[in-house]
Amino acid sequence: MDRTQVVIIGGGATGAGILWDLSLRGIAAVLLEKRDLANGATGRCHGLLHSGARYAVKDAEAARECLRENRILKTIAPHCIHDVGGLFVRYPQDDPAFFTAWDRACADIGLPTAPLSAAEALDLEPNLPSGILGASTCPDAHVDVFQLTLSNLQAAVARGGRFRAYAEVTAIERRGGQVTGVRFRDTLSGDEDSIDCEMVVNAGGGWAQQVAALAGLHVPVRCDKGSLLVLNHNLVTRVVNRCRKPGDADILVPAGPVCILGTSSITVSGPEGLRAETDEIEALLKLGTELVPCMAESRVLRIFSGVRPLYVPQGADKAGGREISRGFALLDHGVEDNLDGFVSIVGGKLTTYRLMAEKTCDLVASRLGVDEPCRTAETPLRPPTPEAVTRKIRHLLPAQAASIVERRLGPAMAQLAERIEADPDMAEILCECEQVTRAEVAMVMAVDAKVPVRTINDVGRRCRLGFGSCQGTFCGYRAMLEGYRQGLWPAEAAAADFKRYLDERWKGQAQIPNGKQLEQLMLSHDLFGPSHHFHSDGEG
Amino acid sequence: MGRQTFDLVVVGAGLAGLAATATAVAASGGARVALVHAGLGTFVYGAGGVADLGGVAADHPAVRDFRALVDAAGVPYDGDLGQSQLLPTILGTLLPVNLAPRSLWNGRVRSGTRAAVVGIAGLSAFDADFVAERLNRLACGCCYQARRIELPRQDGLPHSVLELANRFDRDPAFRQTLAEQLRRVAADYDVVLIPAILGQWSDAGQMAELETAVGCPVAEMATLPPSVAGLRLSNRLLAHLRGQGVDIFGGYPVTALEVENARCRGVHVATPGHARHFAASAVILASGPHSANLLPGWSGDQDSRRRPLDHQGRFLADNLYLAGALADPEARHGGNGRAIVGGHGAALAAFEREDDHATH
Ligand SMILES: Cc1cc2nc3c(=O)[nH]c(=O)nc-3n(C[C@H](O)[C@H](O)[C@H](O)COP(=O)(O)OP(=O)(O)OC[C@H]3O[C@@H](n4cnc5c(N)ncnc54)[C@H](O)[C@@H]3O)c2cc1C
Repeated sequence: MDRTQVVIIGGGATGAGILWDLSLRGIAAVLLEKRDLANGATGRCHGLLHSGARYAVKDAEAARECLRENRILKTIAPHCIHDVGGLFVRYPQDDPAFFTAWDRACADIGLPTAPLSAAEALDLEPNLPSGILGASTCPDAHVDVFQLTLSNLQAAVARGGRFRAYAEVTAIERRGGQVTGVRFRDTLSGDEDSIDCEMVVNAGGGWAQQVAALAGLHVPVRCDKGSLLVLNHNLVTRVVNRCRKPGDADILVPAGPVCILGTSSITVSGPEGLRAETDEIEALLKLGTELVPCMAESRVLRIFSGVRPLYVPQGADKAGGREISRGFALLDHGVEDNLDGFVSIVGGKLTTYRLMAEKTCDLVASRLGVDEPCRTAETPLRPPTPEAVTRKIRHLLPAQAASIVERRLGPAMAQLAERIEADPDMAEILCECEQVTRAEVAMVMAVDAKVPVRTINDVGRRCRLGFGSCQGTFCGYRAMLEGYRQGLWPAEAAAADFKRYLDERWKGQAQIPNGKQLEQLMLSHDLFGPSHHFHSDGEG
Repeated sequence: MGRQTFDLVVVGAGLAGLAATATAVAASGGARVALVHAGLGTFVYGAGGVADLGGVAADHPAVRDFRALVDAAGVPYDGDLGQSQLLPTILGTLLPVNLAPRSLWNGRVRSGTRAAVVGIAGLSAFDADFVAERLNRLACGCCYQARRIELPRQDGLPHSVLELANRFDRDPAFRQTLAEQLRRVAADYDVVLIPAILGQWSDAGQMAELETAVGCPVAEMATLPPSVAGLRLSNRLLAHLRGQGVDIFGGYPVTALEVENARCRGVHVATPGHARHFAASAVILASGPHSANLLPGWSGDQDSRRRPLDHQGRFLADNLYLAGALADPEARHGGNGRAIVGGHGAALAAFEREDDHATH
């Protein structure tokens, strides 16, 4: 029987942030995630590192929180953030009273903005419509959610934290009024296992209600679905927000080679089986072309949906073991429900994941009688890269690949260099869109990787392989073969996983509108169906 | 400038467009034929195997003509429409086909044979162990063993299928090295299976030479795109048609058809710098499943002469014909045979000849 001090349930940004925070405080913890890291809202969100400007008018406190966290994350995790900056653009069809309210609200909380004339804004972002009235800058940024979650996990594991993917918690054990451990099931193999612990943290995001139910408790969470469209071009180089009361499809985030438009907001019954409806997609696109007219001609690569877990307290301001900040709620079920050792953290935003982790770990530490303060606001998630390592990689790889890999791997490029020096064939690029080398894939697949992989999709979440416009049609196959060569999976398992991988990609693209990307999708179908008899119904 | 006149313009260089062009050249006796295409046909992904004729008889003249075409182009097909055979793929599956280019056909499953699956050091896109391991599990009566050869590198870099194919085309010393390497492996086997790298332009004669040097049949397996076997078929067919006097305009999409009073006057083509217009007495649209936007008002149906109809059942133009996956969405899947039959039929219709095995 395994033992630890704290079991964390849920491998999104919040759970990963908690594992890192606890590990820094020297508290032993195991994070259990039922699929792979960032399976929930974290991997399906917009990736906007809010500056707070979006919330300034309506909720100054939430805006202040975002602004603080925005600054902290830019310092501790620069490799996860593209500090592109943001614009709040004034469209002639929007309410001018909001423009002034926005200026005032930003000034009130000390949010740095600078006004731009329409001409200046168009100079910076030529794809904005020519009729705009003007714009303001703000410190919005884009955050790579997979990299951020992965970096938290890697940092935690380096300090003794443990992460286990494909481990779904199926029961929370209690003796009387005290949590004693959890049981979990490996969702790939079906094997059951358990861990004894002193405390359990529910970081289940949209699943928080179901997770709490495992302990017989009720945590009221409303699931609010949002859908996002990934467009094949960098239509803008900064985050473009529409300066108005927040609504649908009023944010466009440049994310590496693509940009992401969002979002909608629709209440759904639960976090599973999400799907963007056709009219929802059409409405998003229509509003999107108001934002940036040339969007009408660009190609939709992929559509995805996530749920925002909204905490809906009954008798909201009942005092007790409940600390409600604007955006999120930390529930101490020892105080609330007489179940000691069980804590839920619900709601919030990606931008505030660190703060949520800090509050949660403060509570956990105090319950465990540990007197270590939070240090995540000052401690870089990853040590700096030695200059010599950077130089070596620039020598070994083409310039483009070298600069991209530097962001992803940092000091771990030393191992990359070792692999390539040992076998120059490992410098071959397997994924052109994201410039992923065989050596990097092999590193990701290594048995001693800090955050190991078990599927081709996991590989993508570690190094972005298959995230580009081919959507894994070619590089997914190459990664499968690489895993076979590395001994990660035997031939049959490799082929079965590749089939699942393709299936998932095809499903994710099933609703994209006509056009180039549909052709890419049909190509993928034709290739593996009729041309290679790999994915047709006939084959067993 | 910018305007040229043809008796027939064929749009699309998939198997339907190629078959239509070849049939038109043969049937019309000296007509001016243009073939306009924006890219390569879907068949290059799989290298052109034919498995399904969409219900027409195996001795259909379209098939006979197609085999004559590929023979003349130096990329002959083997097989028998009456009997399906299995070809191994790089994913370790078996693909049922009736006809295939010879170099692929060589790899068909024959009970009791011992086959070497040969990987090339430094070519990561093909894994012989993976293929052999999976094929052996299928227990098809053949025994597969993975082997490996080394070929000289260029600048010490890993190989790619295109690089190997180009060297096969241009460098006799490379061909000789490859043959020697394969011969060493071949001694213990009835056939050697390799990823498709045997030239983008090579013809049946060069393949036969290689096999003589190796001492046993050499079979190619199509790789993921670029599939050299598919490119070779495409390259040689286009070159052959050009040799037959067809004007070929490759790389440029047709942006619109010019239709006036139920007659198609020609096509507009996007070429860099200026748009061009080709006037035509007849047009065959074989531009694939994603080109329905060229046919505003089309109901999706066609008449017995393969002309697209509007919602009232009238043809859009009396001299406009369809072929391939655009006309026959089902043909996407295993559609090479249907494309050949469709292209053939459209060309005969365009020259007012009755297709003696008409399917409609
Ligand atoms: C469309 C959309 C756009 C958004 N855009 C932004 C944005 O631009 N900026 C921003 O700051 N925020 C944004 N958000 C909010 C942000 O995504 C979330 O607040 C944040 O990702 C929540 O992280 P989390 O770790 O709390 O939850 P999640 O990421 O949902 O993690 C919960 C995890 O728990 C796991 N789990 C569930 N049940 C079990 C179990 N029984 N056992 C084990 N594991 C389990 C799930 O698999 C999941 O991985 C957006 C949200 C949505 C839906």
